[in-house]
Formats: sequence, C-alpha cells, structure tokens
Amino acid sequence: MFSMRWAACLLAAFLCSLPLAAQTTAPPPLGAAAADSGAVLVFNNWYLPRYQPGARAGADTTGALLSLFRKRRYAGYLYTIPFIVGVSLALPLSSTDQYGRQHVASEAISPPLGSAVLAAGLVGFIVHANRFNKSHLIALDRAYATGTPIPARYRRLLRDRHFAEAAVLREAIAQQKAREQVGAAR
Amino acid sequence: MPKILLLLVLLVFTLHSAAAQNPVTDESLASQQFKQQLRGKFLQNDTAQAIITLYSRRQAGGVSWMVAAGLSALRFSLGGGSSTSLNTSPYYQPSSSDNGANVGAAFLVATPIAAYGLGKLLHFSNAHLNEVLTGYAAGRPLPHSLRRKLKPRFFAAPIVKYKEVRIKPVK
Repeated sequence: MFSMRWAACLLAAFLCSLPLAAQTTAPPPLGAAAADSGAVLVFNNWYLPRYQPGARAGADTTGALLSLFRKRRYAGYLYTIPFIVGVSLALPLSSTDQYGRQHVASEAISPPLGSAVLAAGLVGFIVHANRFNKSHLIALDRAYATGTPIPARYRRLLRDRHFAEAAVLREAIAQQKAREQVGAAR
Repeated sequence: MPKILLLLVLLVFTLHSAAAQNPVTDESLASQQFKQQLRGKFLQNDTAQAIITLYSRRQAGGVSWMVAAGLSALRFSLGGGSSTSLNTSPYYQPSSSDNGANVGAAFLVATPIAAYGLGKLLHFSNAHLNEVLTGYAAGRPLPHSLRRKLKPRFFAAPIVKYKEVRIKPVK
C-alpha cells in the first residue's frame, strides 16, 4: 500500500515536470536545422545558438537561458540536504562513544516527519531535474528560433546577471575563435 | 543532532568546492570581465594569455585552500560527533572528557592552510596581474619567478572550450 502510494507520487511528479515534450512537437535532432549554423556546445555539451548583437537583435535571451539552466542544474545538488535530514529523522541514528563502542538508538527521531521530508525532497528533485535539463533547453532554443516566445515560467526566472554572464561567455568564445583563426593562418 | 549539522555543513562546503572547479560560475563577474578585457588587449600574444591563465588557476587554487581551511577548522571545532550513550548499566560512569571538540586544535590546523590560500590570493591578485602585463607591454622583461612558473600547459589552455554543432541538411 505504502509503496503503491510512493510510486503514484513519483509518477505524478514526473508527469507534472514534462514541460515541452508533451506540449510542443518533438524538437528536430541536433544539427538538423539551418538555425544551427554558428551554434556551439560549451562546457558539458550545453547547446548555445548563434547570436549576433545588433540594434534589431534584442537581448541575448538564448545565452541567458543557458546561464540560468546551468546555475539551476548545479543548485540541484542542494536536494541532498533534505535527503540527509529525512534519512536522519526516519531511521535510528548510531553514535560512537569515546571507547569506540557503537550505540544504535532504539528508535528514530520521527519516522513520519522523516519520510514526509524524504518524499517531498525526492519529488522536488525529480521536478527540478526535469525542468532544467539539456534537451529542454534545446527545445526552448529551437522554438525561440522559429518565433515562439519563451514560456513565462522560464522567462520570469531570467535576471540581469544571466545576461551579463552570457555576454562574458559569448565574448570568450569570440576571443577563442579569433585566436584559432590567426593560429591557422600562420 | 550535531552530527547531522556537521554533515550538512560539510556538504555545503563540498558543493562550494565542486562549483569552484567550474570557471564560469565561481569567479565573480567583475573579475571575469577584468580578465576578459586583458585577454582582448593581448589577444594574439600567447605569453600574455598564458600569464592570465596562470593567474586565474592560482586564484582558484587560493580559494580552494581557504575552503579547505574552513572545512578542517569546522571538523576540529565540532569534534568527532556526539557521544550520546544509551548505556544504562549500573557500572556506566559518565566521563568528564570532551568528545574531541577542540577550538585550539582547529585554530592551529586551519591557520597555516588559510594563510597559504590567502597568500596565493594576494600574490596572484588581479591588480598584480595588471601590473605585470602593463610592464610586459612596456617592454620590461618578465620577473624570473613568473617566467619559471609559465608551463606549456598554460600556453595550451584555450580561453573557453567549445564544439561547433555540425549541420546536417534537412531532408
């Protein structure tokens, strides 16, 4: 009974977190569209479309999205904290005294609270990891290239610092390309 | 409970040091922009690029040493965890010795580590980098201590690693 409820909970979380694949048509495979000309993969193969700054180009939304996704993805490690707290509350703790003998507490601090924290953390993690994954970023970028606006739930997370970081990254790539071109010409 | 607290704090510090390996997110934006300006100024000069790379690596190293100092200080000052004994036997006598928490030891261990990291951060600061490169641009020879540190790996390091997305024609 308990495990059934768990499975249903996890399944619901997974379904809630499927953002784009279900709503839009499946994105074309990587490298299939003309929009890919000038696109690069940076860091751990994150997709960064081409962007040419200009009066008509607007802000570098795709670059800022990349910055946002990577930051959120790293922050996902913080979900280990509710996991540790939940496990420590739900299971009996052991401790070692000064003579090296191990004592296991006869009962856990609060199994119901612990399992609630654990479940909430796990569900939250699944939602988070699904929300900020690489293929969803590609789908967003592809849709954006064809004129679809960025969904509000991603757009409202964008801050100035994401755009500033994107500018630094674009400039770094431009510098590296310039160095490679001169190196090849020599 | 202190054990859990210790675990959590350790976790946060570990995460911080894991993030420190990521060159884009860890360094402050101003520092990144400063280095980028310098790189742009000396774009085709391999030596200047290698010097900038050397300085950013050493700065990251300094930060990791500081984090390590903080970690070891925490470990020593919090001790070896709680010694909550559930022993109810009549022969059990609570001991007066502490559970290993030792602020003095924490200070002794962490201070040299922190000092080493701080030294790195001060010696390889952005201001010093600017000074060195200004002198280099003016034609002054590089100091011997710096020349000695410039290894081939700093010349080989790219500004940022990237891969072009290969384009396939749409059928």
